[in-house]
Order: sequence, then structure tokens, then C-alpha cells
Amino acid sequence: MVTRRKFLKSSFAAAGVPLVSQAGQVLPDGSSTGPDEKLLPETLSLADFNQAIAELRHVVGKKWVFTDEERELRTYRDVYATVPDEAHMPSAAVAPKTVEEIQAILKIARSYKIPLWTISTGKNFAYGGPAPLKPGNFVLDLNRMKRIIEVNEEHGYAVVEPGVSYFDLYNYLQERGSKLWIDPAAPGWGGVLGNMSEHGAGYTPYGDHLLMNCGMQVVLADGTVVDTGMGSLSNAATASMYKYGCGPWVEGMFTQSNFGVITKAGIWLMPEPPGYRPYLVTFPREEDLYQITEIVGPLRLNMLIPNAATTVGLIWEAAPRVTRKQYYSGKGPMPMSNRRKMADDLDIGMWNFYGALYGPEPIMDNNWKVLEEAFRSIPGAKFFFEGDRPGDPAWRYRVKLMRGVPNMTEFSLMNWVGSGAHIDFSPRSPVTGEDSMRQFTLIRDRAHEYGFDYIGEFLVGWRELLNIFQLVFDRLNEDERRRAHECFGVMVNDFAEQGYGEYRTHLDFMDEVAGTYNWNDGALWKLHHRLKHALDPDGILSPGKSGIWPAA
Amino acid sequence: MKHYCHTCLLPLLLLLAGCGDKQPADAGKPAGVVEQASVVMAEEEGKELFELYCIACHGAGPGHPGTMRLQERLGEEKAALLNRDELPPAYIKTVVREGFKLMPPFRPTEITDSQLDALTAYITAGKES
Ligand SMILES: Cc1cc2nc3c(=O)[nH]c(=O)nc-3n(C[C@H](O)[C@H](O)[C@H](O)COP(=O)(O)OP(=O)(O)OC[C@H]3O[C@@H](n4cnc5c(N)ncnc54)[C@H](O)[C@@H]3O)c2cc1C
Ligand code: HEC
Repeated sequence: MVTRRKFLKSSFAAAGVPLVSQAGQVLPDGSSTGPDEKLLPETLSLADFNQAIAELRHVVGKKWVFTDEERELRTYRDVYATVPDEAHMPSAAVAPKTVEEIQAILKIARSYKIPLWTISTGKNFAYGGPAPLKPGNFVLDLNRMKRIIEVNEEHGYAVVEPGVSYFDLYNYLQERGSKLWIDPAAPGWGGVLGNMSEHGAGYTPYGDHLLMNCGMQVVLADGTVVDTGMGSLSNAATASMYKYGCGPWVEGMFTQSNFGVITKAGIWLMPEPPGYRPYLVTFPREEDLYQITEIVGPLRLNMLIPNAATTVGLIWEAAPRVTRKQYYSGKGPMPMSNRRKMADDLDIGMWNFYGALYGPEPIMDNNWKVLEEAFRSIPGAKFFFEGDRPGDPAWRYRVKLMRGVPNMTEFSLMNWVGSGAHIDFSPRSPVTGEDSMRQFTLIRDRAHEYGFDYIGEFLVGWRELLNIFQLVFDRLNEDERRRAHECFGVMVNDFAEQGYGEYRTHLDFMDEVAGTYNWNDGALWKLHHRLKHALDPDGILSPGKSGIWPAA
Repeated sequence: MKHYCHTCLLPLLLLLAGCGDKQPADAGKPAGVVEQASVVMAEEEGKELFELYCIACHGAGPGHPGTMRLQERLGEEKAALLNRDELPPAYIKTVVREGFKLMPPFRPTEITDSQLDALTAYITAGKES
């Protein structure tokens, strides 16, 4: 009989991807994990595994502990990874509903030394989805914690548990006739708390999610529950209104990290402005990016452009409407002549700048005069407003995102290659024309060298330029998968050489990206490790997150 | 014990999808006699779940990545999921738990098994979107 493990092994070998043992080690070719061995965390025997599972079931109920590898645990795969599913397959998942249950789970994890990979809504696709970094980890799945604890209409904030998605919070506010906006990331199924904890971004003026976080509750590995900031006053009156409390500001420490389990977060919500006017300006040439960035930088800095101003590349803008096949059936990157034809057909540019005006009419009128004059200085710039692009889904989803209406349209980008997968490369640079062109050409040329199209956009957060490159590939094509993996690794190095760092990365590149933050003999990551070992001496929380590991 | 993996299951999914139209018209209907009231409740629950988890990708018209892809692969008529009352329930459940290319799987903490029954019943009830 061909067991699942054996089958996988042969298919991995064919894919040229190393097989990982139950201990998380890469196995040499031909080695064996034994027939149908149960995947387990390293250091856990099968007997202990079974005992721990029984105890976990006692805490959360039988229904909320998952061990079935054939059905349940397969739903925790990262289906967009460049490596095979098994590289990130958990051995169990446990889904608590309360802080008390989390404390009890941590106690069990400490006593058996079980690594727990924390997720909230668990939709971190392009960076790993719900999957743990190491195979065999248990997933601590907080999606059942769905309480919207407070919405304060007057002061403009919400306090949510980890399982609250953008759709959930949006629907909740709509049903109650609230005049508060949310700020969703492009995937509306993402989580207010999970995305914020990844330093994620949205497209309204409240787009920097960690900046808009105010107060957290964290459960430490030893079970201690900490409310941060003003929330640590016994009768806190401003827990979600003033960020910094008194003394060290610790919230950031629990984001993109494995120092604790966040169980609650305050998030500021933007009051609906008296007016909203989205606009699109298209530009005909790739080189225009230089001038666009030069123009947008100062306007963003002085907040005439108040939201995450986004300059969208041609294919990104086209993909919600058309697929690659419609314009090019050859191999490798689509040639410029085909791209031009597509741009003309769809009436879009090589770059497409999306922004919005917010506020009372006279203010929007005045600001627009300044913006229009600035953009007109680029030859061939074309302007579009509400009503100008009927039936264009790209325009429509941007209009939604910039006013906080969650949706999923951006997943269309993967239809470019026929329902593919993608991982995101996301470096940050200064906001200058020169840096933007350097980032763009570096990525485009590497993408083309590895046979991929450049599908990217540039966001000006505030003082920094974020390039998101969606490396879209066909996951069923093993050669493409391998090229995507290699291309990504090479780009990490390219960018480190220029002094540009990634702000966040996929599971498979966490060590590599952490390694680029290496000034003074890696002092910062040494500090992270000191904190890790002090706060989580048993090393149970999300081992390897952001390149932070338990003590050996 | 059954053994399979994602990559070897996909062709099966594609095959099933391709011959979806050859299923008998009632293949998608829940089996057995069910109380009218619980059918209505399950359908309401199914509708809610569909609107929360599926419609953003599978709603009718442009801007929906699932609809866009199914239109490309199966044509206009089969593009929107709510027009697909011929889909076998078992197939829908497999897709929801396994995922399907760009559609990632849904975890049991998002949609429980009993909710999946309700969701499937709603889709196969043949509602126009
Ligand atoms: C097409 C597409 C477009 C995208 N666009 C955007 C975008 O516009 N903006 C953006 O920011 N991202 C974007 N992403 C990336 C990603 O999908 C989103 O950021 C998504 O919101 C992350 O998933 P989540 O919110 O469900 O968080 P989760 O998956 O729940 O959490 C993400 C990570 O945070 C940590 N974490 C989660 N919860 C906790 C906790 N309670 N305690 C401690 N640590 C925790 C874990 O390491 C976890 O893996 C995009 C992805 C795709 C596929
Ligand atoms: C992220 C977008 C997305 C979400 C959310 C999503 N799907 Fe899908 N779904 C797709 C795509 C894309 C396909 C087509 C895959 C392909 O053919 O390449 C698909 C295919 C399917 C199919 C197969 C149809 C056929 O004819 O073969 C079913 C059934 C399905 N989805 C059900 C659901 C259900 C039920 C939900 C909600 C629980 C859901 N989907 C949520 C994107 C999505």
C-alpha cells in the first residue's frame, strides 16, 4: 500500500523539495520517517501527544481539538506556499473560546513542551496562511473568540477579540447604523487583530493598523494576563483612547513576535467624513513612476493626500478584468508590446494612482486644485472620478477599500495565471523617485529573469515607500513553484544590499529576512532572543516567528 | 484509512467539476425526509454563511474572483455558485475543506461540519443570486 507519507515523499522528491522529518529536520533522499508515522512536534512522544490531546479536550471540549490529518488539519495548510503542504503541516489544532481556556492550554503546553502556533482569523495568505512554520506544531486557533467587546461611537474606537474579521466588524457597525468606518486590508476576511499584529495596512486615512491600535490584552506563556497602557489602571477610563500609558510602551513587542498571545485589542475607527471623492490618475510610461513618487511624497507628508496613496502597476490593475492568456500565450514575462495593447484596451496606465479626498466640499475642492496641477505636470496623465469607469471591478474595489468597505476582489490577481497562488515580497524604501525606480527595476528584472510577470504596487505609508510585489505562480507546476521560491530568496539579498528591509515576510523566509537586520552583530535579534527566553523559557509560543527561536 | 494529498486530489476535483452538469438534477438535494421547519432554518443559516464566507468571491458579476475563474473555465452560465444547483453536496463539502487552487480551505473553526451541511443545502437549493 502506498501510504500518504510515502506518496508525498515521492512527489516532493520529484518537485526537488526537501522532505522534512517529524523533528523538523530536512531528511536526506531515501530516508524514511517510518510507515505512516503520526506527525508530532519534536520532543513529544506519541504517548505524551495522546495524553496532551485528552487534556486539551477536557479544557475546550472534544469538538474543538483537531487531530485528523486527512480532513481537519488539512484546512490549516498554506495553499499558496512555494514549498509542499507538508513543510508546514500541524499535528493538532486547538480552538479556545475564552482567556481562561487559553491559560489552561498554555499550562498543558508548558508541561508537555508543546509548541503552539497562534493564529487569530488565520487568513495570512501570501505570508503563510494559518499554517505553522514548523511541521508538527499545534495551532492555537483563536477564530472562535469573536466578541466585539465595545464600539464607542463618540470617541471612535472598537475593542475586539482575535476572531473578529473585517466583514464581521463592518456588518456589526452597519447593522447598528454606526457612522464609524473600518479600515480593511484588501482581503475582507482578514482579522482586525491578526492583521494589526502583522503590521498590516489598509487604504483609508487610518491605514497604518498598528498606529491605530490602542491598548491590548496579552496572555504570557506562563499564563499571566496583562492589559497594556492605560488599560492597566484598575478602573481604566481611557484604555482605548491614549496609546502610551505611563512607562515603557510594550504593545509593539507582542506584534510579529512570539512573546505572548494577544486576546483583545483596541482599534481606532475613523468617523465618516462629510464627503468622499475617490480618484484615479493613469500614467502611460513605466518611467513615470519616478515623477509620480516625487509628486506624491510631499503631498502625502503634508497630508493633502490623507490615505495610503497607491500607485498600482499595469498587470495588478488589469487582473480583476482580464487574464494573461487573453493577451499572451507565450512563456516567460509578457512582452511590452502586449502590455501596451492591454493598457490601451482597458484604458489604464503603466501606473495607476489611486487616492481619495475626504472632508467638507470646500476643503476637497481646494485640495483637488493642488493635486490636479501636480499630476498634470506628467505628460499623458488621465483623470477618472466616480461614474467614469462603469463596470470596472478594479476601480470599484479601490473605491470600496479607500472608504473602508471590505471585499475580496484583489484575489482576482491570482486568476492572471489561471487560479494560481502567490507570496508577497514587501520591502520599504525612502519616498523618492530614485528609490522607487530602483525598487521597481530590481524587482521587475529579477521577476523577468525567473520568468514571472511584474505584478506590483507602491504605497506611500507616510514617510516610506512600500513596494508590494505579488509573486503569482501556478502551484501545480513544480518548476514554477521552485523558480518562485528561488526568485524570492534572491530578492531578499538584492534588497538588503541596498539597505531596504522587508517589513514582513512569508514563513519560509523569516530566518532569511531576520538575518538581513544584522547591524552590530545582529544586536536587535539578540535582544529579541533575550526577551523570548525570559518570557517564554519553555519555548512554547510560535517557534521561529520572525526568526525568533526558543533556546536550543 | 484513506490516503490522499492535495496535488493528487486536484485532478479529481477538476474531473468532478467538469462532469457536474451530467449529474441527475436532484443529485444535489439533501437526502431523506426532513421537517419543513428545520429546512427553512438550515437554509437561513446557509444563506448567512454564504453571505459571510462565499459571496465576496462567488457573487454574480465582475469583481468576484471565484466567479471570474469559473466563468473562464466553465462559461457564463456556471460562473455564479448560486446558479449551480446541480453541484453534488459532497463535492461542495470537499471543495470547502480542501480548497480549490486560489480558494483556500475553510477551517472547522470558521465553518463547522453542521454549518457546512446548512451551507451546502442552501447552495444546492437552486436560488438565483
Ligand atoms: C490577495 C491578497 C491581498 C492582500 N492584501 C493585503 C493588504 O492590503 N494589507 C495587508 O496588510 N495584508 C494583505 N495581504 C496579506 C494577508 O492576507 C493579510 O494581512 C491578512 O489580514 C492576514 O491574515 P489575518 O488578518 O487573518 O491574520 P492571522 O492570520 O490571524 O494572523 C497573522 C499572524 O499574526 C500572528 N498572530 C495572529 N494572532 C495573534 C495573536 N492573537 N497573538 C499573537 N500573534 C498573533 C501570527 O503569527 C499569525 O500568523 C494580502 C493577501 C492576499 C492573498
Ligand atoms: C478567495 C475567494 C474564494 C472564496 C472566499 C470562496 N471561493 Fe470557492 N472558489 C474560488 C475559486 C477561484 C474557484 C475556482 C477554482 C478554479 O477553478 O481554479 C472556486 C471554486 C469553488 C467550487 C467549485 C465549483 C466548480 O464548479 O467546480 C465550489 C463548490 C466552491 N468554490 C464553493 C465555495 C464556498 C461554499 C465558499 C464559501 C464557504 C467559497 N467557495 C469561498 C474562490 C473562492
